[in-house]
This record gives sequence, C-alpha cells and structure tokens, in this order.
Amino acid sequence: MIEVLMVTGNVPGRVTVLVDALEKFRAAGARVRIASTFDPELIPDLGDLAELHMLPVTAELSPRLRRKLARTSSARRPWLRAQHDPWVRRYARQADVLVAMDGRALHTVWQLAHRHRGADAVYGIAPALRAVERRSADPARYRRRRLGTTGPSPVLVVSTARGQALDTAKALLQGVSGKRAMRSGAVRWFWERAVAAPGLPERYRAEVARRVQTSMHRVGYPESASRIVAAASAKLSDPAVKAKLLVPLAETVPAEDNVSEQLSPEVTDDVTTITAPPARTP
Amino acid sequence: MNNGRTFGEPGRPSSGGGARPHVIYLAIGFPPAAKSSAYRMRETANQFAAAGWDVTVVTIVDEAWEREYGLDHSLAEGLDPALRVVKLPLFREDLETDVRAFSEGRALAHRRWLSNLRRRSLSVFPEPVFGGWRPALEKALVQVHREHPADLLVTTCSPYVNLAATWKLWETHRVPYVIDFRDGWSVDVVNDGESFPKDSVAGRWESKVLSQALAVWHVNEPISRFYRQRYPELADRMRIVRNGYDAAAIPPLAGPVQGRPLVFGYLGALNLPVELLDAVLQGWRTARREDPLLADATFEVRGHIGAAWARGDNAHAELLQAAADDGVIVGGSVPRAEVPALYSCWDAVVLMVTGGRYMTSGKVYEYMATGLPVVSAHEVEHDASTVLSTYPLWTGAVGLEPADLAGAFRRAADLAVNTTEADREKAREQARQYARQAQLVPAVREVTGLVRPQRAPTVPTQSRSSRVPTGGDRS
Repeated sequence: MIEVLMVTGNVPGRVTVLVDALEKFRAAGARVRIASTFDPELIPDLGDLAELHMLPVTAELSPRLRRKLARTSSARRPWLRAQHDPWVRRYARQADVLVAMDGRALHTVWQLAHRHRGADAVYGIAPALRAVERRSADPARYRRRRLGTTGPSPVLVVSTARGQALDTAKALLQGVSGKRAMRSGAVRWFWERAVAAPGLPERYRAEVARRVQTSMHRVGYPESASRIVAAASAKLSDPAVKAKLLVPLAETVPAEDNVSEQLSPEVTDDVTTITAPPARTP
Repeated sequence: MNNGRTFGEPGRPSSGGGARPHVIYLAIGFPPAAKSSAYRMRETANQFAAAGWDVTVVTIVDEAWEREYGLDHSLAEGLDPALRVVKLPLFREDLETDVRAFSEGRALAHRRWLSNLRRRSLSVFPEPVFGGWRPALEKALVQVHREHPADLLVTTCSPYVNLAATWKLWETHRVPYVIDFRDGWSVDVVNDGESFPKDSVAGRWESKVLSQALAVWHVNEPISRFYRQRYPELADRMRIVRNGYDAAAIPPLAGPVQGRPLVFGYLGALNLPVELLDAVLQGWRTARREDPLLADATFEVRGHIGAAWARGDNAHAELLQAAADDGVIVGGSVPRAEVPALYSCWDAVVLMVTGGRYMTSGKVYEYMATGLPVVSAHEVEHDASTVLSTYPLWTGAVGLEPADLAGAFRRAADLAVNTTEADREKAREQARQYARQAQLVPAVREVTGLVRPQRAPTVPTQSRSSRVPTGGDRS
C-alpha cells in the first residue's frame, strides 16, 4: 500500500475534482490521509476515500509553542502546529508521497520533505498522482531509495539554524526597543544614532524607527521620538518607505499637539506632503 | 522583399557556396512537446529539410515539458531524420512541483516568490516568464553557429525572448533571419488591441528586431494587417502563413449518423476563459434537454486541463466534472497518432476559442478538414468565423449566449444526421486550401530564394509529416 499524506491550508474549493482524484489514488493502490489547518468538517463528505485530521489548535499547544505561535508569521504557523502533532509525525514517517494541496500548505510539506527524504514531496494533486503511479510501477526501486535517504537534509539544518538566529535577533530587538528599555537615556541616545547609521536597508530603518519612536512616546519622551523620526526619514529616499514611517505619525499629530510642536520643520513638511489629498486631474 | 540588402557578403561565415545551406530553427515547443505549436514547427523544419537545407533545431529538453503539458512522442515520428535537434537545459522554474526543490522562501511565500521571479525575468528581457532564458539562448545560438555556420535563422515566437537571441546572432555574425511571429507580440489577440506601445521596452525590442528581419510570418490577415499598419516601412516583408491542418490527422470520411446517440467532441488544451466553457456547457444542457436528437448524446472533451500543480485541478475541471450527468465526458489528452481515430468516433465538433478578430486558432482548420459539422463557441467577430464562412457544415457564429449556443448544438445535430457523404466531401473540399503543407511550402521557397537564389526549389515538396498514411485520409 502506498501511503499519501496531504496537507491543506485552504478549504478545497473544487470538491468534485478532489473526489475524482481520491478515487484515482485508491485505484492506484494508495491510502490517503489529509491534515488540514481548519476544521475538517468544512470539507464536504469524502466518504472513506481519505482520513481527515485537523492540526492542533492554539489551545491544544504548550504555553511555549503558543508564545512562539503568537510571534511567528502566518506563513510559518501551520508548521508550528504540525511539528509536534503525533498524528502528523506518525503518518509523515510512513508516507511515500507528501502533498501540498495549496500554497498555504507548502511550508509544512517543505519541512516534512526535508525530514523524510525517502518520500516524494510534491505540490498539487496531479503531480502526486504521477508520483503514486511511478511507485506503483516499480516498488522495489523506491524501497532501495528509502534506505539511502534517512535523516534530515542539510538544507533543513541550515534553515533551522538561520531561523533560530533570526528568532534570537528578533527577541533581542524587541527587548531593546520596547517601552522598558526606553526609560534609559543611554538607550534613547543609542537609538537616535542607530536609526541613522549608514548601510541599513531602508525597509528595516523605517520599521525600527517606527517601533522605537512608538515606544518612546508611550513612556513620555516625545522629543526623543521626534528626533528618531527626523533622523530616520532624512536617510530614506524611497517615498513609499518614508510614507510607511510618517503616515502613522501624521495620524497621531492632531490629537497630540505637543508632538506636532516637537516635529522638525523638515519632518512636518514631509508629513504634510505625504498626507495631503491627491491633486485632482482635469 | 529583402529591400536591397544582400546576404552572404564577404566576411560573414556561411556554409560555403557548394555545401547545403544551413538554417538554425529556434523553436521552443518543438516535438515531442505536447503543444499545439509543435505541429507548425514540425512542418516548418521538415519543409526546410525538404527544400535542401541542413536544419538545426534549437529547443529545450524534454523534461522541461513534463512541467507543462507533457510529451507526445508520436509527434516526433513525422520528423525528417536528417534534422539535428539541440535541446537546451532550460526549465520553467515557476512550474516546478517538486517541493524539495523549493527554497524555504518559496515554500513560505509562493506568490511573492513567483512575482519576484517575474520581476527578475523582466529585468533581463521584457517577458515575465521566459525573460530569464535570454543569456542561455543567446549563448546557445552563437555556439551552434560557430560549430556549423548558418546561412539563415528562423525564429518562432512565443516565447518572445527568442528575439533577443536572434538579435544577438545578427549583431555578432550578421546571420539573416526570418521571424515566424505567429500571433505577433504587440497585438493582443485575446482582448483585441495593442499589448504595449512602440516606445515601451518591449516595443523597442520588437521594432529593433523586426527592422532587420528578412521576412515576418503571421498566422492570419488581421494580425498581419495590424503589423503592416504599425510598421508600414516593413509591410513588404510581412507574409501570412496560416497554421493549417496536417493531412495525417484527418480520419476517413463518414456518412450520416443512424441508429445511435450522437457524439460531439472538443480537442485541444482547455486554456480558454471559464465563462466561455460555462456558457457552452449551459447551451449543451439546454439543447440536450429540448432536442430529442440530443437526448442521449455525449460531449467528449479531450486535451490538457491546467499545468503544473493545477493540472486537472482548476475551475475548468470542476465545471466539466459537474456536467458528467449531462453526458459530458472528460478524457484527457490524446497522442497525435490517435487523433484520426478519435475524430472518426465523433459526429460533430465544438470549436471553443477565446479572443476575437485577431484570433484564428489552429484547430479550426483541422475541424474543417474532418468534414464534420462545426459548432462555433467564440465571439461573432472572430477570425475563425472568416475561415469557416465558406464551410457548408458550420452552424454559424452565434456568440456566447447559452441559449444561442443551444440552437447551434441543435443545428449541428440536425446536420450530423441529415448530411450525406457527398455533402461532407464538399465540406472537406473547402478545407483543402488550408493544408499545412500548402501554407508553408511557398513561404519556405520564398525565403530560400532570398538567401540562396540558385537553390530555391521550383515545385512544392512533400515533407515527411505531410505524407498521408495509406488508407488514413480520403480527402
């Protein structure tokens, strides 16, 4: 029996196509299991063509994973939910073919694919069916391959290390740019220089400046916040990136006159330009 | 046609005066690619070979087509054995379905990755999917030319990035070239208009490459007219080389249908708008419900549905499967060699084509050549209407309203049971002018005469792919 593990991040929109495909899988001698990020009840009745399973919801996760889930991007969340799920672990280990049914399932299948290298890992139902047909035609060949492809791939090792480094850096940044840190004059002094440091990519410069100036406002240092915005915006050349920094600030200006007074004339000009209504065309 | 320019001037490498002339044919989509353009490419290469040329075809490796519509090895059976085929290891990255080959970034944000890929491609050449192939194609053409100096380059588009490689060979080695532009580039054949202005990046590329072309071929008069108006100074180099049909794909002539349910058929890739397919299926349902002739009739749809991860899993597939109770049968693609047998099982054909006045499609010719009644499911103002206007078994262009299409299905059913073998022979006679060979022989002869005046053949040549198998075609 060829084991197929599918992962889906969207409710399948084309049920007749799915049912037709599942019947083909069965005819080709495959057993199909589907892990979904949503309640499988939302998938119309597939009969006994596939076993359905929902990935653990937030409440079922450990506190550590829940915190991690809250911090992580939506694209990575399905994998965080699948990673420690015994059902997924068990059937991924057994799987001959791993299938991402849609774009939202790709990262989970990518992760599984680099952990279970004996399985085919494909995007889409038709490529999965072809993989099943290939295995069905020559099972001995695939048994041999499984022996030589145990353990996680080097790609995964690099990716995990990179992810951990990024997580650590992100946590560090969150700490030193948060409200508590802004109470320190030394930290505020550091940030005024850091957001104007040469070589910082524009997108990151604007994001960091926005976070730091927000934290400074919240703990009652509007002058420092204004200097942060002025220093960062002076280094930004892309109007779109500049707007992302200045528009939220402009929206707070009418409510906080003292902030308006603290803005430098250059920043005020920028804010006025960016928030002005577009000129009408004849 | 060559506007006073001469070819074979001193200093330009060539195959030499006494040797057979050498043509490089840049044809991405060449057999065994299971693409509709493959038939035209096969016949073009064969005709050049039959006209006395050494032909080197440059295309991409077979594995690359597995990601798209796959391979049809029966197409390669009609190739002249003297052709040399160079297959470049170029793949459409966007159609990759092996998840392990993805970067983590692609797995995390597939759409963003695709849009970045398109942006990168556009920075190399103004074509979003294929632009990135430019360096490899340029290098390959120069390499092929160095190994065996070419007297002519024939480039067929799409992909349009082929134009960059064509220009490279012209710039570096002054190899004269013909562009088989087929559906053109700056003309939007689907939405009836201009795809891009002349002063855009793509527009400048098109102007530049066309300006030095020895000849430019298009598939129909409306497209050719568009180009003649856009480039009046090049009008004398524009030629119409219609797609035509392969005689070998035509089944034996059949008489009227008696004593069994009718079978309608569609053959071709389902890359048409979902709304069009939906309208046809609605029309089919209505006709089947209302006309006793169609009560048990079936409608067989054969061809590729979707590519890569969406193969067989798109809105078209959903619509067709939902219509199974209405006698709609989805049968997948058909190897070219089995096409005559397929047509011989059908009693009428349904021509579903997108676009308007600039679009003809290749299958209209083949449908006419079957001698079967043709139901048109396309805009009224469509070049297929022009081609079919003299075909006696045509139900007319009625537009895309389901009720009107239902009427067309009923008329086709009536034609299927009431036309004699003589009527069908008469219908086929109308198609004969569109035999692919009849389209390509004069074009190849003209180009041959321009490049090697003393070598131009004086009579049409029958190529391998045009040879009619014994008993296969009575037209």
